[in-house]
Amino acid sequence: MEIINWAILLFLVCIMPLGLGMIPVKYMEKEHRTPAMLYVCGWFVSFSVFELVSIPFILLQRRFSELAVFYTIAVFLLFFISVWRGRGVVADCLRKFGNFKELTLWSRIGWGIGIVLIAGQVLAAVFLEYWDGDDSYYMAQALIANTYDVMYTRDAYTGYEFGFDIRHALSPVPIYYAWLSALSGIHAVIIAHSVIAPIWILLMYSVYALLADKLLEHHRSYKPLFLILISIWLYFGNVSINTAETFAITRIWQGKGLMAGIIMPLLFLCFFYLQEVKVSKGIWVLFVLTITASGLATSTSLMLVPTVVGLAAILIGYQKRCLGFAVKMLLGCLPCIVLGLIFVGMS
Amino acid sequence: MMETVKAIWEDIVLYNGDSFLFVLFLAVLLVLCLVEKDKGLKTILVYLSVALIVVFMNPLYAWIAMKVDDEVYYRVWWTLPIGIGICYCVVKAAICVRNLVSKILVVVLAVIVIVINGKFVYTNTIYFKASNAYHTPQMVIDVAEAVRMENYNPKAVFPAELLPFIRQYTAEIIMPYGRNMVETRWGFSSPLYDCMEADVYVAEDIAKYAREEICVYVVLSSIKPMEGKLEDYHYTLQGLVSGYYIYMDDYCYEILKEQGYIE
Repeated sequence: MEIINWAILLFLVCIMPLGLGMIPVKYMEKEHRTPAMLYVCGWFVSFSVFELVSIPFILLQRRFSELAVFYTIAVFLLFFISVWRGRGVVADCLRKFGNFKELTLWSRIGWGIGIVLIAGQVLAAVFLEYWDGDDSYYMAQALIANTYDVMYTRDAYTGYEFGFDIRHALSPVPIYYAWLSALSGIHAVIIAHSVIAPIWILLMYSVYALLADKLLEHHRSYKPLFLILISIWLYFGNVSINTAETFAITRIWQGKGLMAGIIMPLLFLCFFYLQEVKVSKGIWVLFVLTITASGLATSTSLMLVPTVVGLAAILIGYQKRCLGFAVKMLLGCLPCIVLGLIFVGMS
Repeated sequence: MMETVKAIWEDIVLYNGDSFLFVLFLAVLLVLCLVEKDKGLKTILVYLSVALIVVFMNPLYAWIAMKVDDEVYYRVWWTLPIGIGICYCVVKAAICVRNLVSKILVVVLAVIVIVINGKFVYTNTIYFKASNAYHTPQMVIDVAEAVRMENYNPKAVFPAELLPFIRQYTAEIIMPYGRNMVETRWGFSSPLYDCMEADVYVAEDIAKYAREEICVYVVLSSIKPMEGKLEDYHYTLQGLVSGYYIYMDDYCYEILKEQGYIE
C-alpha cells in the first residue's frame, strides 16, 4: 500500500507539473519550449489555481475537504486538457536533449561539475535536517487541516479554536501540503521536509537554467558556468539568517523560501522576456502565474510584488516607448492588488 | 521619520551580516552599467535594481510597509537580483578574456571572493543528520506517540525543547502553550511555563498549574531534579520515554475512563 501512496505523491510533484505546463508552453516561441520551462510553468499553474480556488474557501471558512475535492477536480481537469491540447510541445522539449551532443568538452565538464554541486544540495535537503521555529506554525496548520478539516481557525501552537488568522490565510502553502497529504496519504511534514524540499530545489535550478538561457543566449557554452557560480553562491549564501539565499536553501518548503528562492528569480526572468521586442502569449501567462503564485507564498508579496512590477513596468514601458505595454504589465498585478485589499480590509 | 531611517539602516546591516554583500552588488551594478551592451538586460539588471534600492530606502515607503509588519522589512532586499547579477558579471568577465588560463583565473578569483564574502550554509550548528523522514528529533515522535490517545485529543504540557516539534508531528495533542511561549519578544507568559522551565521542578506547583490548564499529561525531563513527587498530587507515572517522564492526571484518567475514552 505504501508504494501506492508514494506513487501518487511522485505523480503529483513530478508528472503533473509537466502536464500542467503544456498549455502555457504551447503559446511560447519554440526556443522557450524546454523541459525546464514545462516544469516551471506546470508548478506555477498549480500554485496559481490553488491560490485562486482556496482563498474563497478559506475566507468563507469552509471545510478543508470541500476545498480538497474542488481543487483536485479542477487541477486534474486542467491536467488532462493541458496534456491533450498541448501534446505537440513534448517533441520540441525532447528535441532540446539532443543539444547535449553538440556540447564542447569544457561545457560537458562544466555540466558535470554543476550537476554534482546541485545534487549535493538536493541530497542535503533529504538527508540533513534544519530545525526552524516557523515550521511549528506552518506544518501544524497543515496537520490541523488534515486532522480537523478546518483552515486557519485553530491556533497552530496550542490547537485551541480561535478567531480567523487573516495574516496567514491568504498565503495557504500549508493547506497545499495538506492537499498533497490528503491525496497521497503521506504525512504532510514528510512531504514538506523530505519530498518538496529537494523537488523545489530542482525547480529553483530550473528557473536559474532558464535565466542562464536568457542571459547567455549568445554564449550558450557558458551556461554551465553560470549555474556552477549560482550553486556556489547559494552554498555560501548564509551571510545572515535574513538573506534570500539562506531562506532558499534552508527553508525552501516554506512560502517565504519559495518566494526568495524561486518566485523572485522567476519574476526577473519574466522581466527579461517582457523587455524583448516580441512577447508571446505564453510568456504573458507565465508572468501572471508568477504574480498570482507570489500571493500563495507569502503575504509580504502582496505589497512587494506590485512595487517591483510597477517599477519594471515603468522602465520597460519607457524602453519600448509604449505606455500600453506598461499598463498591461501593471494589470498583471491585479491578483496581488485584490488580495492585498482583502488583507488590509480584513486585518 | 528618523526612526524609520534608522530601522532601514539596521535592516541592511543585519542583512549584510559580516560580509560585503551590498558593496559587492553595487560594484557589480556599476560594472554592468559601464560594459553591458544589451539595453534590455541593462534595464532589468541595473536600472531596475537601482530603482528598487531607491524605493526601499525611501522612509515613506518603509514607514507604510512597516505599519503592516515591521519585523520583516528586510524581505524587500530579496527583490534585488544580487546572486544573478554577480554571477552574470563573472561569466561576462570570463567571456571577455581571450585565453583559457585567464578565463580559469577569473572564475577561480570569483569563487574565492564568493567564499570569503559568504558563509557556508551546511554547518553542524544548524544542520543535523536527519533521524527520520519527518526531519524531527526522534525523541519528539516517541514522546508524542506515548501521549497520543486513540479516541481523544489530550492536552499535554511539555518542556520547552519539545514545544516547537510536537504539533509538527501530530495535531491531535493540544497544548496549553506552544512555541509562542519560547519567543520572549512575543511577550507571552504563563505560570505553568515558568514552573516547567525552572532549574528545579516543584511538583506541587506543576500539579497546581497543570490542573488549572486541564492537562491530561505532564511530560518532564528526566535529567532535571524535582522537589517533591507528582504522585503525591494524584499523578501516575506512565513511563520513561526517550529521557522524558510521562505523568497522567489521575482525575483526568477517571473522567476519561468513565466516558469510555480509556479502557
